[in-house]
Amino acid sequence: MIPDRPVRSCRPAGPAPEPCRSTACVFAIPPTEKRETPRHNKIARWLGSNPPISPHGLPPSSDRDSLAQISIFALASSPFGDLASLARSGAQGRALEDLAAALAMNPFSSGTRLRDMIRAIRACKTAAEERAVVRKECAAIRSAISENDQDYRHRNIAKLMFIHMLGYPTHFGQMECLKLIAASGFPEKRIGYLGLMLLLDERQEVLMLVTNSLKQDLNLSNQYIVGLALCALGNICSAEMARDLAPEVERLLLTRDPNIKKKAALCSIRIIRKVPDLAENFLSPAASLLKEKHHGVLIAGVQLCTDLCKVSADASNYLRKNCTEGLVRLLRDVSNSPYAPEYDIAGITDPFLHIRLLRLMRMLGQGDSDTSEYINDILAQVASKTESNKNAGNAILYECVETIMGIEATSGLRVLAINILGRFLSNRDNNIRYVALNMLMKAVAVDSQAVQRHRTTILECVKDSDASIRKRALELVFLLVNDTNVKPLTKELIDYLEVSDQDFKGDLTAKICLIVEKFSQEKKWYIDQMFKVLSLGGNFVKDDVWHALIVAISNAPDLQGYSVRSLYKAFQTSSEQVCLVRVTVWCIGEYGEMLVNNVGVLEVEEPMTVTESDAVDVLEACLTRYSSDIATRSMSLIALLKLSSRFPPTSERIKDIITVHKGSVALELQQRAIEFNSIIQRHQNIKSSLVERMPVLDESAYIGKRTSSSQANIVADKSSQPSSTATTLKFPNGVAKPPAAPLVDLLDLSADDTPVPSSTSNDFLHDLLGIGLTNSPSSGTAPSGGTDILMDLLSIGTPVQNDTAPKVVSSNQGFAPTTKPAPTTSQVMDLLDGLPSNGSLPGSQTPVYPSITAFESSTLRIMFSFTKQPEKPHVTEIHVTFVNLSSEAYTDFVFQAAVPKFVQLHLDPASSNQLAASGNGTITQTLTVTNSQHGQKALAMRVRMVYKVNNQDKSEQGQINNFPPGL
Amino acid sequence: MVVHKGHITFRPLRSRIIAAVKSSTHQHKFLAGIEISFEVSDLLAGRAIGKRGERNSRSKMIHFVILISRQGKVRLTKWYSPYQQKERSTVIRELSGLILTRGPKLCNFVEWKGYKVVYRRYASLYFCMCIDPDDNELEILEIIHHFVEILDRYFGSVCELDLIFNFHKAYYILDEILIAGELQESSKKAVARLIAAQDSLVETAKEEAGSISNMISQSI
Repeated sequence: MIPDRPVRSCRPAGPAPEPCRSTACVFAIPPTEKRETPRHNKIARWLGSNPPISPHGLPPSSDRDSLAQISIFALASSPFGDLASLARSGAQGRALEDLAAALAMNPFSSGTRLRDMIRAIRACKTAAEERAVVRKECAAIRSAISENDQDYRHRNIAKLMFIHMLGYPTHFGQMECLKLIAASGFPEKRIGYLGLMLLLDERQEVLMLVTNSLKQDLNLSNQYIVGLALCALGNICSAEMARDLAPEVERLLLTRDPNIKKKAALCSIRIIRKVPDLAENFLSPAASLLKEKHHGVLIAGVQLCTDLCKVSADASNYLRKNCTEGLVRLLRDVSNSPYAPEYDIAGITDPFLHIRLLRLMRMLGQGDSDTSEYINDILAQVASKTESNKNAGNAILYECVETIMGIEATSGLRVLAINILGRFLSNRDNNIRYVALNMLMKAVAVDSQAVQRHRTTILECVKDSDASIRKRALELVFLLVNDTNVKPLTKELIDYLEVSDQDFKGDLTAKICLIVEKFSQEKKWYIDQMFKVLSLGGNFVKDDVWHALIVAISNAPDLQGYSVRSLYKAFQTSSEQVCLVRVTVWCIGEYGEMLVNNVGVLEVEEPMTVTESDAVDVLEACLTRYSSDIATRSMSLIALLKLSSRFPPTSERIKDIITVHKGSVALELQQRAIEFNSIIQRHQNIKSSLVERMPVLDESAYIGKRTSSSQANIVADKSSQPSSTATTLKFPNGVAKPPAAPLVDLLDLSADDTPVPSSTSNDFLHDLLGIGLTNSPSSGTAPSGGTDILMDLLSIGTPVQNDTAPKVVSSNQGFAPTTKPAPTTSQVMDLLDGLPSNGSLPGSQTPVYPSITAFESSTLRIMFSFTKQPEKPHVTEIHVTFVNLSSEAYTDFVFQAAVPKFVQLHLDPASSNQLAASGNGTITQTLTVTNSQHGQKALAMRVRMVYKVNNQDKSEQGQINNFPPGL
Repeated sequence: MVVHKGHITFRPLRSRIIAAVKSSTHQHKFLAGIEISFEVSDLLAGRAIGKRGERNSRSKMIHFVILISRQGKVRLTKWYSPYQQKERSTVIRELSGLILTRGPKLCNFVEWKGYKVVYRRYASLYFCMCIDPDDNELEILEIIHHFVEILDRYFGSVCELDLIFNFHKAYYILDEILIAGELQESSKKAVARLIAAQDSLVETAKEEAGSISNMISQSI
């Protein structure tokens, strides 16, 4: 313990410095640390003495003189940071502060030792103090770097690593690591490689500079240096380094030293993960590793083989043929092996090797019945003989079960596996239950009957106190639901919803809604369950779920009365659940008279009396109470308007309520209120037809729309909603609208039969669509040339599918008389589409599309060719070919594409990421494009190519608009 | 997000291709509702996501190892998948929020962003390893324990302070246990032998070196 920068001038003659330094150290450890780590004496021991420690951490005699003296000694040997804190902790010592200040001026104080720096940082009481210490250290290190200080280089890097761990930027030390690695000695290299792995990640370009040093070190004879280099390569190598150094690693796989061998094997794993093309080079060395005796080498070798199987089918075939026998023997030996102290964990010899062998067997047995049959016996042996009282044994059993599920196992073996999972599920250890649930999810696909047997236990797990287990169990329950058990399961889940944690309610609600929607066999059950969910977790229900509920209610005339009454009742108890309130408001607006007149009472209902003013009370409450939620309040306003014509006695009161909101600060509400007010006051003659009940909402169109929009973009879900507003089909637009389009609301309530309101509108677009569609299909829409703009515009107004139109008309017949005959619609649509009328019809023969040059610059050309499967007209496969027009080769070529949200894009991997110069080579890549609005909107794409020329990043981008029509 | 070995598509995008055309023709409230803005940030982020995509390849591996103290202080981090400095601090922040708040009797696994984090508490330290969702959680628990036992033998009943002041030693040991996110050695003795051999190499080098560098290497 020699102080490295003794400041001799400050050291007075007197007591020996040793005890004093340790006193300073005791100061530096905050009292809290002492409690949690009883071994703080150890530090004192490291420092060479055991001084008495007073309860306050101050030395026993605390008069100013001795303190000052002590601090002078401390100054001689310990860092500035310590002293500063020392000065602060001894509040009475002004002298100390002076000293600390004097010290700050001392140019020699920056060279603290690593240990002292850590201590100084730990002594900081606030983040600001810590930042100050770190800033000081960093400044010292920077200046040492700029002076090219060799003596302290490795200490500086060590400090930087600690600073890095605290989350401060340390990029300025990266080059120092490289210098250390380039040094010849093992100690320098050791710390240099550690710094390299910690301070750099594989994205930094500095890393490229280390490739040469790595290459040299890999060729040295000192096994420990080779080991360091392999370790660094394995942990951070990039694709380029992988390519450059693969031959070295391959050679090292064949050396005699097991330490090098195992490291090289793991390094190879990283290399083939980065560059799968290199896999075949490693195949035969990897296979030879499986014959080794050394467990470390075996573990690494088996793991390497597993990874080879993942990237290359040839590799798995080769290993299947040549190594299955050896693997089975290995597993048998290791599982029958007598007690081996070196590898023993809880009475099992090397569970890690067990697990890796089982995993490789799974890779080999997958989809291969011969291999599966061959390994059946050993799997049965492992599954039945492994002890399950300790974690290590369970880990093996778990892996074994997964292997059995993964291969073509015999049914007997599968039963064995499921039984193990059953045992796991009833285990008291939460970890074991968790993995059981996890594995049962995979088992459902194999043998759902067997999993069903554990249903009650799984359902119990949904109610577990552990969030991880709850989540797993819920996922599993969802997979287990089928037509026969849906009712009891839903009941259980809904019951639990009432008592569950607040943060679990979101997940739970979403899952219940999914289950109820997916498995509802009868409408009443569906509606009942949804009402329950809404009243228990209405704040968590997604918009599309309650929209679907409204569509369903609208389609069930005999349940409308029942629904509105149930909702009215539910509202009395759960009026704080937003979605419940919205559905209630909508239903009262539409079916308010059924609430009052008790229309269509079902047998199960209890009779109830609701007066007209009660119904208005509900709406008024919503309007005033939900001050924050404009959507709900807007809905309440519409509902009030509707009631005003249905309940004439209350119309004066409704008028008053609406008038109050004419001054609302929310623009949306104000506008609605003013419009509604003028309807009430000035347009009594058309009011009743304006606020007629909504026609039946089209279920199939809604479902189609919902799936397409949720696929296209979940985030934009809300903003896509209004696109339904102008359609002549009726979506639940009166409700689902973001506050953007109040007028449209009004319009489409009546667009079918009354042209009047639309003429009061100043919305010419709407005229074009609404009136143009119904009355004058041939005029006004003349420019059918089909530019993007127009198509986009018009497609808003066209129904989602051709064939839905007639159906809607027939379902409308019971309600409002429809003025729009179905054939007109499709004609109009054809006109608007600007496409040949059979172009959009499914089932026509596959058209051949010309290839196009999608993008061309001075350096790059991209060609697209198209294929389509006749039965899927909306799916297009695009084969992309890239040609390099420049004279320099491109590396790391990556193609990226963006499409509008009505299109889904799937990119397959490219054939390569290297593009040879001057058109001497091509990259091909396949894109699959699914146009959810096929026939209505043309495809468009924006592309970007990122690549490297001479290791310089380049990128190009462009927009592709010249797709052949009809894609 | 569809990711294939480093090649990546953007999210099916709200693309400006249509939005630009629309907004130039009819600036209407109604249309504004469906106007879809092209997210520049997505484009910019594209590359980062693409690189990160490598993490998502189905290789089962340990993505990172973190040691956090009960107070949320980081004691050791090792990243086997590429994470940028910024992401690293976010990861650490999120995970300490998740893990440190969990009760003592709960299971040792938390699900996080499509990955699983296996953690185990030893005294005041949480050892966390992040793995793919279909990896063997129980085995990772054994690996953690394996690591701890080796640390314990090396330091002689290890404590948090050992790991703070000798953090580099802890890293050396971890490097003998894991490489590329894969287990390297199942024998504690073998690891101990290797570390001891390398430590003695450093010692010899120190003795050979002159007095100045002697002082320096001691001070590390």
